Amino acid sequence: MTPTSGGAAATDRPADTAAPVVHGPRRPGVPVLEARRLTKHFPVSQFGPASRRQVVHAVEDISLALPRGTVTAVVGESGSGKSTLARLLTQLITPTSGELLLNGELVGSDGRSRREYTRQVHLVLQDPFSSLNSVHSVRYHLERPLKLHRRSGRGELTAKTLELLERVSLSPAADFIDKYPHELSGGQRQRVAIARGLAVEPKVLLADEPVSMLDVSIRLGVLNLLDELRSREQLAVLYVTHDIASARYLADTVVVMYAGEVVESGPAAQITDAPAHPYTQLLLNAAPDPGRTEPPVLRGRGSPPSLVNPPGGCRFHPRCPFAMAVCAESRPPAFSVAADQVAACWLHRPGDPEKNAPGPAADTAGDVPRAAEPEPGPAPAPSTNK
Amino acid sequence: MVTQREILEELMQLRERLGFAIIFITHDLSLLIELADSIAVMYAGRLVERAGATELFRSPRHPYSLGLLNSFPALHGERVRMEGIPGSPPSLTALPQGCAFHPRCAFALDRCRTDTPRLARPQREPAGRERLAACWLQDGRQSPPGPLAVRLNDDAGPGTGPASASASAPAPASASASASGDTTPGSAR
Ligand SMILES: Nc1ncnc2c1ncn2[C@@H]1O[C@H](COP(=O)(O)OP(=O)(O)O)[C@@H](O)[C@H]1O
Ligand code: SF4
Ligand code: SF4
Ligand SMILES: [Mg+2]
Repeated sequence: MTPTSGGAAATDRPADTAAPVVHGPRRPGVPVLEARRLTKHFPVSQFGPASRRQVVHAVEDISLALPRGTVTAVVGESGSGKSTLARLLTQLITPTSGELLLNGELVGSDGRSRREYTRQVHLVLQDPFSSLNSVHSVRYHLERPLKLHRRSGRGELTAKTLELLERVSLSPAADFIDKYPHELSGGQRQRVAIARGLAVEPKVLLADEPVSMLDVSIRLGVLNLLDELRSREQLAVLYVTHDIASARYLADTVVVMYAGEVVESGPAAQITDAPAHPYTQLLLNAAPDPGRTEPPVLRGRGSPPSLVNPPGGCRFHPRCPFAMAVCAESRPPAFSVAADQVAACWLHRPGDPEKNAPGPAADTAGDVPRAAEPEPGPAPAPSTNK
Repeated sequence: MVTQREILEELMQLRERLGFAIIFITHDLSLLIELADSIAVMYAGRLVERAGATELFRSPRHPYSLGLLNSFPALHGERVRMEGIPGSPPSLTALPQGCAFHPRCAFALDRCRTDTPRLARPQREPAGRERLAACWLQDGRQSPPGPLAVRLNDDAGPGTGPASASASAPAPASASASASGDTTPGSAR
């Protein structure tokens, strides 16, 4: 694994200043893809006129930059808005507000710029079973985009198809080119789906839970392929997952979402080693960890709120063990908590006396939201019933 | 994840209270190691290893168990490249001859291609460990490779029984679990 640094372009600005915090790995130059203040509200179709204007607040004011040669992981529980964010980034759905920039230029809405955008930004779906057509061979799936994109001649087509297969480590390629989807394993199909995306030479790969439907034993192979596409082909990769351990494994930067908002972002290892947001801490404590000797203590039990009427202020406040009066009233902006790491939590307001406080009492030691905390180790369990 | 953890906690509390045994059937080995007392690993329709959760985690005896353990990135420590298991699970209708794992096994011997290993006690297993593995490497004719021959610190210690992993649990109930790979390419969970 090559990546080391990354994180959010942190600011200490208070909430009301205009410029939003842009999440994602920090690299010099213009990012391939940038999203500014993306928001998506889905209309709720319900009976009765009263509810006609209700909307699902699926993605709220997210700014993200994806530089070439990096992997950004978006982590969150089911329903937190990850897929909506990925679909917004592919232009499959239109944002309620916000804008997209490709190579630093605002993406237009005319057919030509949309086509160019679609070519450069490719979405890899979760389900490698439905994304390929069972009546067509691997060759057919790959030659089609090659023909459309490069207008390659007959002779080159086979060579280019073989090359694509090698690029996704389906090797020897000649063994795979004439196979049909049902003759391939899930991991191999996901590789074909990725190869098909690569045929049009995209600059950005958006992968929405690309391994969650694959057998455990072959997941790492696909993650390692994404890693290679980042380092070898300098693609900008967005990796959407609910598995924070795999995000830590693959990503430069981890972006944590809760109820449609980004609650924390920063360099991958830093987010898991020193999470600053109470929700990130909860997510980590709930994640499986074979090295754990005591059952974890979950601080902030419950489930995510309705996104039709999300809680005011911090959307996590009804569950948060640290909630203060301000949390119900105003939405916390992203505060800088460490190098390249930001957390949208009032506990981290600069100059806030609580920020570096050691916490209410020793019994909560493990989970006090301090940025510099070296280990988010679980608090001592009151009773251990393994 | 949070919801999953809450449901599991509830189950474990019920177990304490009512004293029943739980069998988890899952492919999430990292979660099992935390929750279960004993784990049975299945591959291609057969039991390939059975051990206490801690024993399995620290000292797997079957190459498939080892491969599964290497398929879950850690939440802590240095980030290192991991490889998972090469190849993919076989179709149940076209199982490889001999040990069904041999096409994916880095340690396969000649006889693995023709003879199916039986589930048995590893020959060099320290006394007191209750453990079974279906692998020719463990039949005593050769020393198993390092990663499959790890000894636990407490192996030599007197009185360390097979229940050491669960000795702290007061209830007679136990949770056992089974981890298994996909058996057909394309079958999804
Ligand atoms: N087309 C849609 N219409 C209405 N609501 C939607 C639509 N797509 C997603 N949602 C809602 O938006 C929220 C976020 O969903 P999603 O982006 O799929 O989350 P995730 O991928 O993190 O599970 C959910 O409450 C979901 O029900
Ligand atoms: S802003 Fe308040 S409610 Fe939200 S996570 Fe921080 S302390 Fe908890
Ligand atoms: S029996 Fe042979 S092929 Fe099967 S797991 Fe053991 S060493 Fe590998
Ligand atoms: Mg989703």
